[in-house]
Amino acid sequence: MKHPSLLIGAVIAAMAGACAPQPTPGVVPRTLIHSSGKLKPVDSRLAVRVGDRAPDFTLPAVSGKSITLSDYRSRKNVILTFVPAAFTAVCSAQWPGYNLASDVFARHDAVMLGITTDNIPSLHAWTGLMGELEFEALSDFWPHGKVAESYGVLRSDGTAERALILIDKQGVIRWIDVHDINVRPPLEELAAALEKLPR
Amino acid sequence: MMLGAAVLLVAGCASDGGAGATGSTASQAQFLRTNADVAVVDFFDMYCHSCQTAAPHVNDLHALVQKRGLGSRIAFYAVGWGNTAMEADLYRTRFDVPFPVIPDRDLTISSRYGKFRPPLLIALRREGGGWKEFYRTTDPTASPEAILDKIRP
Repeated sequence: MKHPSLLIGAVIAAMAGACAPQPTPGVVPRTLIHSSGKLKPVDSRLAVRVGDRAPDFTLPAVSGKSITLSDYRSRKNVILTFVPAAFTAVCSAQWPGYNLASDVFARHDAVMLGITTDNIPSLHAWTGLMGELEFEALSDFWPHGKVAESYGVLRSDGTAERALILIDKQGVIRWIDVHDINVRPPLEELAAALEKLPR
Repeated sequence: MMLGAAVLLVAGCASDGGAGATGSTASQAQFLRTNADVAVVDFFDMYCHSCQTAAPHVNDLHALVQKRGLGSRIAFYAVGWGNTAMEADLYRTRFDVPFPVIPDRDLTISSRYGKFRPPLLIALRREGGGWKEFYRTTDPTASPEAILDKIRP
C-alpha cells in the first residue's frame, strides 16, 4: 500500500467501530432521547368534534404501505394516536405500551394508527429502536402536518399534540383526548371510550 | 366496566410476594408485607420497551430462586412505575408475571428509592425493623445466577 498511514487509520477506525457500544435491540438509548423540557400543555385548536365525520387521509407508513383511513370503514374502529415527535421522552415511552394493549383493542374490533409529523427515515430509525410496534406508524411530514391540521392537533412549532382520537366503523369521531403534551394519557380512559362504542 | 374491573383486581387480589405467591395485581398496602429475609423489587413501566424486554429475565430469576429452594426467603414484587391498575395488569398478563404486580401511578412507592426511570431491579434486606437496599441494577437482563449470587440471604 502506498500510504501505510491509511491502512493504520482504517484499522483504528475498524477497532473503534467494534468497540463502540451497540444499542440493545428494542431499546432507544437514553443518549438519543431529546429532552424537550416542560411545554405548553396544548398549543392548537381542535378542528373536529365528537359526532363529526373524521377527515379522511392517506399517509405513508414506516412499513412501506400507504394507509387510507376510509379503507377501515365498515370493517374496523380506528384509534389515531398522534404524538409530538420521534426521539422525545414521553413519546418513546408511550407507543411501545400499546403493544401490550393490543388484546384490548382487538376485543373492540379496533386498530391503532400512530401518527407524527416526522419524515419516514426518522420514524424508521425511532420505531426500529423501540422494537416491533404492532400497529402502523404513519408520517404526516409532507405537506407538513396536513392531517394533524385537519383534526386541529398541529402545534405552532410543527409537531403534533399528544392526542387520541377514536373513530367508529362508520367513520364518525366518538372520543377525543388532546392530552397535556407533557403527560402520557392513562390507558383506562381509552379503554372506557372503547367500551362505549356501538356494538 | 374496564375501569371497574381494574379496581376490583386491585382490591381483591393482594398476596404475599414470598413462597407460593401467584401472580396477581396487588394493592400498594401489600408491598413488603412478607416474612421473607430479602425482597426483590422489579420496577417496570408497562410502556417502556426495555422493561418489556427485561420481564422474562426477571421471571427467570424468580424461577431460579424457587428452584434453589429459596422461595420462602426471597420475596418478589413488580412495581409499575407511573402505571395505572389497568396498565400494570396488562403487563402482568402479557408476561405471565408469577409474583405480585403493584401499580404505582403517583410514584408513591418508587420515589422512596430515588429518582430513576425503569427498568430497575433492587434487593432489600431486613434491618432495624425496616428494609434496607443492598443491591441495585439497571440491567435485569443479566444472568439470573449472577444476580442470585449477589442477593442470596
